[in-house]
Amino acid sequence: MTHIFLKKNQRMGFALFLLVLCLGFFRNAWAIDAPAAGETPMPFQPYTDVLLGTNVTLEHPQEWTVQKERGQSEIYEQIRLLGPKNTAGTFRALISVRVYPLAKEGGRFANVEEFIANYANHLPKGAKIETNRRLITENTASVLTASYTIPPVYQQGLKGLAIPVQSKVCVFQRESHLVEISFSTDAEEFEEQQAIFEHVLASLRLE
Amino acid sequence: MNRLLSRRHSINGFSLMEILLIVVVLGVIAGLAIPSYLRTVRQAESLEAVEHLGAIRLAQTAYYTGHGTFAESLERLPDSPSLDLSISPRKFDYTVERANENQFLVLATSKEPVPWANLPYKVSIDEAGNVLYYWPESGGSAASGTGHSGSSTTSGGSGASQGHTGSGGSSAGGGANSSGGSSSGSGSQGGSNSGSGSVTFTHTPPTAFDYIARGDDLWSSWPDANVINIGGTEGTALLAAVFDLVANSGASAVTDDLFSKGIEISFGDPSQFAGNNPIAFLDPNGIDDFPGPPVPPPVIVFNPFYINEDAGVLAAILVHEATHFQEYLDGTLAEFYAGNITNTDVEFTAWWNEAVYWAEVRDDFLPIDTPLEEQLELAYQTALQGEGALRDLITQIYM
Repeated sequence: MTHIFLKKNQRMGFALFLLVLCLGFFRNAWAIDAPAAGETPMPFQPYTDVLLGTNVTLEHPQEWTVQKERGQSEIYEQIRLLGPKNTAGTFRALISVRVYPLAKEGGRFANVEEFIANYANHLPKGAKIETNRRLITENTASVLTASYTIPPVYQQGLKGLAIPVQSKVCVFQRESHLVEISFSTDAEEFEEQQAIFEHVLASLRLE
Repeated sequence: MNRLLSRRHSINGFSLMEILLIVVVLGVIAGLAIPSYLRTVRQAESLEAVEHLGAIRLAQTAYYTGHGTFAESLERLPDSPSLDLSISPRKFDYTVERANENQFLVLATSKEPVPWANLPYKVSIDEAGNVLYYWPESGGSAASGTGHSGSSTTSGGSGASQGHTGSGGSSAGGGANSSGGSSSGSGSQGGSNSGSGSVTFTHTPPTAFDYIARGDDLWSSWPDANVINIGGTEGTALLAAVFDLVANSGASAVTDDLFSKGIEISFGDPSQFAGNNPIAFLDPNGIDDFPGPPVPPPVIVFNPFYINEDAGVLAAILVHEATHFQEYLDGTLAEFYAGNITNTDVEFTAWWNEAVYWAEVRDDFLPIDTPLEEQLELAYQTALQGEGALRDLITQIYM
């Protein structure tokens, strides 16, 4: 057998180095998706509702407000999860689960592609957009991640400040419906709130 | 001989199997890390493209001002120091993919292909300043990203599952004008794909992008309408022009209500406006008297800070506040003050009507460049995303 000769302590050191390298890599590679170890677990509570005939079950943070809504000028039903205000007091984190009928059933969009293109086309100017795909409730969803700035809104009761926003919109077709799960928050608090969005996604069940 | 063998066995070294194992581990790490690294490098390189695209957009805006349309080629754009695309070495080629009187799309195409797909990647900018990255997919096929058939295309790609709970992962690529590859597999919830795609830009009008009418007037009686609509002493000509603009638009129902009820519109005192210069508000005088008569009746007050603002922009704001007055009439505001409905319910209709009015007139204001125009544009563009998106936005900023 071929051997590379190393002293025993060198060999152990090299093996240790490789181990640390591997651990470091995998920690970084999955750091974005994985909730940080040691964080205080946020209490979640289950919620069930029916959106256009689809039974929706999910878990949301206990502190967040839940609102049910039905469209006036468009056909859709949604569950809105409303989180805390950002530090600047200008914007709340929000997660929405919306169910639309397809165009052939009276809805506005014929397919996921149409929905995503329309959404991207009407983001505030200067938006930076990326798209990819992921599995949600065993459905392949198109995911659009965008960062942009909401211009100041000069209205009574508002602070009239620009708001940096990061958002993620996941859309997939399920039978004759489009399901949209969107998440948006102050860009500076995106990483912090993303773990909550991932929890909601992981808990989501559609029947 | 035995001593020699014994000595040989005691030597510290790696066996071939150990070396192979190390090579495999390093290979796996490199296989996962290098594409991500290269992508980051490419994204950094794309700063050149983003910078030049920004300059091109400014030049397009200048061109639009003089010609009423966007330039169909870069050669037509006015010279400017920031638009010197001849700087060498240049990592991108720039082309105008689409240009007309309403929109443009300029594309920067990398000269160097990305290694994992042997295809160039692209960055685009449109008239609104939206920057979009088009990453080719791994596996030799690419999201074309430049579909101009008029259809919307989103193509996703293949990629390894990266979700911490995912095993495998699946994706389905392809679209009307994309040759995006597809792959299938199984993945548990939470798995994600690293494939990326493109989104073409098309306008999909809402099913019913029209004004929302008020419900029945629920006030049992109303004080005599003994005031002319325009009140105060400052900016009365401007407010009269604003009123006329709305009265002669598709939003005339709101000015009809203001007129028939004698609602006063005026520039108020700066002290009435707290915070960062809110534009106007409906003072809900008499709401506690619902269902009537309101004493005194409500008034609409504009911030004198905007006394030199364009009448067309203030007209959109009047539509907003007058819609609140319609909510005053049909009892929506009374419900709100009684705590039965949310701020979102009250603001949504005002934002929606304001957006529909802005849709009527915004072509006269292109390119959008003042703070108030940007505020109106926000309402308009978000409304075009959909009612749900607009309600979400309102909820996020008001509640």
